[in-house]
Amino acid sequence: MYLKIFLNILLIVFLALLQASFVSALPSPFANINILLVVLVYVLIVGSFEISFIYALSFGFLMDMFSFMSFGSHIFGFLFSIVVANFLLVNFFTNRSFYAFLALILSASVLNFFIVYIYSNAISFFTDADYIIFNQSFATFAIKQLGLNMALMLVLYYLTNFLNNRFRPVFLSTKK
Amino acid sequence: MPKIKINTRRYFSYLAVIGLLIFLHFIGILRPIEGFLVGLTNPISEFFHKSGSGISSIYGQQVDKRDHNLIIAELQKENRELLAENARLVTVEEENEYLRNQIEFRKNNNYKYVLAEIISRNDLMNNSSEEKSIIINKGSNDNLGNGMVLIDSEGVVIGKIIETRENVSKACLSIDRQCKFASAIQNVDRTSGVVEGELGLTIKMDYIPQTEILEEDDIVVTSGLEENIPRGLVLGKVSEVIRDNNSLWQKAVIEPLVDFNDLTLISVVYLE
Repeated sequence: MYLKIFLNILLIVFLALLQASFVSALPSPFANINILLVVLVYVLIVGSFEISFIYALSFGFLMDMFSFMSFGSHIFGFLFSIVVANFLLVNFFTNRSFYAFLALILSASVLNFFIVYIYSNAISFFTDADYIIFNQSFATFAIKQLGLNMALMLVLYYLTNFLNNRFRPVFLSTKK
Repeated sequence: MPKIKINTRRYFSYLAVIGLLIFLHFIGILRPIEGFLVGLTNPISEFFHKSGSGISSIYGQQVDKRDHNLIIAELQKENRELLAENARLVTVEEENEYLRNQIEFRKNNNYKYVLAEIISRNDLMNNSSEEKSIIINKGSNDNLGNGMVLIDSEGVVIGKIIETRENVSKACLSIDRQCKFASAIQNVDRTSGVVEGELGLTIKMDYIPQTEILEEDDIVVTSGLEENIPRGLVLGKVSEVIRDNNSLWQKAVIEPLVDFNDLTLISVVYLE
């Protein structure tokens, strides 16, 4: 039990540092990928909402610590994205198909941008924290991130399918 | 239509947890824990950033013309060193002349360096091509403060610190539009003004009177008019002069002399 918790903490810290230091140093457009959000949605689909929620809170807290944006922007962004993705998963994309994976990461990514943008700019009114300017350059970055997140999710989907047959469609035969 | 289930009570309790975290951060209770955790993870961040920069550097080299890569890189390094040296000598010459004229000696260039490593670049959610910033592993605990200038191993300006925390600082790169320096062009007229980053690619100096004579390859240095920034540090060289006959002003496009993707180790200059 404690080993499991310890391993999960290590994984969370490793992924957060990978995003903050390694991915950010990669050449464009790879530096735009948000591996944390992809991992969150993936954990939500293959694991549970509870695990995904804890991951989202931890990722958000760590990224807010490493980042100079308004504190809370990443926590809110990740958590709202996961809550909405869970809502969509439970009510609309129950089959966990290829399209469900894509739709969930797309909706989570769009919502994450929306929440971070609104939150950062609202907080920057009251503090001297960084704010986000919505211009062509930011829109290009957002589109690149959406595309890369979807591409990584596709890789994870096919990898999961290759390693086990949990998400493969099953047809019940009526023939004797 | 599927049945929609919302557990309102659960979501309110989640919001309370997040609200508490943010509240504790803003009143400063979480700051020591955050500082400790950032300090603890700095070595891993440095390792990750070096690995990422290594990949970025290899990728950049592959994209460039392969045959001439090494030669160009060596020549550029040599050129940067010579330009920096030349700029320093011009500054020293000017200083010398000034001092001789005034018949008094003052100790200038009385500054120290703090070595720092880059641990991250740009914010996760604000990584647009115009935003160019880095996070270094030194902060207010190392006596760093806002406005201090960052230079590379050859003494060329990289950017300046815009925000500091206990163990880390955020710096804008000179090509970021928010990064501004009081500077001077080493031309006949000794044109001075403010330079700022443009599109995350180059630096520009705007509102230069048409009467000033600018030429390509003129070296741009810091003017020393800003607090914490010594004069004579090289910012870049003029690559294009944009003149419009109907305008009162002309504009200089300045090419930075640093490859910002290759940076891992930098120096922060602070005046004593």
